[in-house]
Amino acid sequence: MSVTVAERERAHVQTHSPHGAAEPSYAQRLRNNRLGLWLFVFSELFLFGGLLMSRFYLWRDPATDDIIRPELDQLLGLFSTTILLLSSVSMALAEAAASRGDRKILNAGLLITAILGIVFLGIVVGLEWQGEVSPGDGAFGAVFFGMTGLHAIHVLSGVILLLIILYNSLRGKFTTERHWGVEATAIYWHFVDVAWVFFYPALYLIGRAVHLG
Amino acid sequence: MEKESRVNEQNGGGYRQIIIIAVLLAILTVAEYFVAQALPSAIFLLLIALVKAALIVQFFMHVYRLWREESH
Amino acid sequence: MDPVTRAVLLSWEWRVEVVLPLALLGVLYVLGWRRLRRRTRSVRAAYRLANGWRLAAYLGGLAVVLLALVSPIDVLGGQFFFMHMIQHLFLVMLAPPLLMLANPLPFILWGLPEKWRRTAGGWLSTALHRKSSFRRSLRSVTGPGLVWLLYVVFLVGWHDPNLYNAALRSEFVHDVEHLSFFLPAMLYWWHVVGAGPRIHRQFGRPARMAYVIAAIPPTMFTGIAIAFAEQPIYSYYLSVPRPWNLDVLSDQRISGIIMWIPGSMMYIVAVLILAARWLRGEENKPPLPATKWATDERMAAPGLDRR
Repeated sequence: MSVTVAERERAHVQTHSPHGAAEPSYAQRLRNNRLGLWLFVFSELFLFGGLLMSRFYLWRDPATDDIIRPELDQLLGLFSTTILLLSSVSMALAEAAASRGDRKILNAGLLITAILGIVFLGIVVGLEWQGEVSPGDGAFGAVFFGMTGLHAIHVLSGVILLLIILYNSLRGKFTTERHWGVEATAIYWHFVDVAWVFFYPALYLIGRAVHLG
Repeated sequence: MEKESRVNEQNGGGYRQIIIIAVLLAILTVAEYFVAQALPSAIFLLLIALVKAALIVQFFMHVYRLWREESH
Repeated sequence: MDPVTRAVLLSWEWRVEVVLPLALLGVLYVLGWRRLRRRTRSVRAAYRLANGWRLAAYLGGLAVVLLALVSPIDVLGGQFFFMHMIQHLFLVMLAPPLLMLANPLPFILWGLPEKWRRTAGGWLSTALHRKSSFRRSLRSVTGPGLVWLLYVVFLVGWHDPNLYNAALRSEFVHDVEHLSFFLPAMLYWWHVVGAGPRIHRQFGRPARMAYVIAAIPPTMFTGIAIAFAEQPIYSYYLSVPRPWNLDVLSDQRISGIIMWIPGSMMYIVAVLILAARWLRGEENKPPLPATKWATDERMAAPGLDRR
């Protein structure tokens, strides 16, 4: 009659270390992890927020001080935004599936989210970055590539994270009670989407379009 | 007992809630696009973005879990 | 006295639809306060609901609303941007905390004549009963996060040039603007102060302070954007006569600074008060026994233990 590690762990939720301090339970560790991740997200807020502020400060018409923006393909912007929002939806569905034990939907959701993320990267790097603006184009180039570049790196790392979690999920690592990996990936991915929710209007919609070059 | 039924209701309607939020996000994105074409108001666009972000933070990122006593 | 200044100081607009409700609320509150004070005569002063500062806070809050809406501040708000800004700050940051600190619900109830008080009390008990669905829906609709969102959306939204000009041109739109500021602000301070009716879970101390701080960025950023703008933003002010030789751009800069600095100050003051209360509460706690803090683990790495 063998007892699995998981069962033993569940039976002794609180073990005691030699010094008399109690070993934290899974619930406690989960709450700590969650808080830690949210604090990280909060710190990233300053990073993205700073770039967003600099966009509004630097992209100004020198004559009238109006807010301006470079001419970008509107449909491409709308399309890439839609892709990223859909990827958030598939991620949310995957996380809901994890807490319900729906393995198939969890795996499908993770995979779709990763694919959509790669498509988004393709659009930004492959299409938007090949346009008129170049990184050396003074304030315009710096801010545009700074914002989209920082965001793209986060999307890329998010995709890598998704693939790792997908691999773990396929190996059967997650249960309805314990799926912190899925939750953490979801929080990270949604944050990347929230950053784009602000970057999209800032880059594509706000201000008078100015033709460069 | 009450909490269990609330959790079950959440789970059953869990997928449904996500789809509802997805539809709201879509509507807001379309609205954003048309507001940008019709009247060039930076404030409105940023406020629409804020509402989209709030929806994602509340219903997808479950920020309220930070201050609730949930174990998973 | 300079005739322009005198004319300005005398231009009060005693709007009946503003003065009457405020007067009514004031009378109800004072009556309720006196009744409660008589009934709780034996209660120690520190625990008494009907104490002096609550009365002062409520009457002060009503006076601030009156000043904002009826005094020359309102009239001049049509000519000077900074006056308009002061008016908004009064309505959003000065009056609501005063009114909420005074905890108006029990006092207004007690100000009513007895039969009305019983009916109103009965209705409130049924509506806000622990299991009532009305309480549940009210609770979900007035959650702190949503209140913050409403507060930001309305406060920042009305500063869009077209909307702001519209509010300056039409008295009705202006009233709608003020209501849409005032109500979310009242809800906001309702959460911070914890005034009645208490239907939400009580805020923990750090959460309460974070909630107050969260109100700062929207006003701060809007204020900064206005202060550093190099062109007039609101065309309405270009079309009105301007006493005292204050040009539109300087007026706008002052307004931006007012929204930015005094606008944040109110919240910082509130946070400092909350922090002071928290620290005083910590001071009043008895010291921990040595067995709790002098363990090997904690002495080796103080502060790094897991609670």
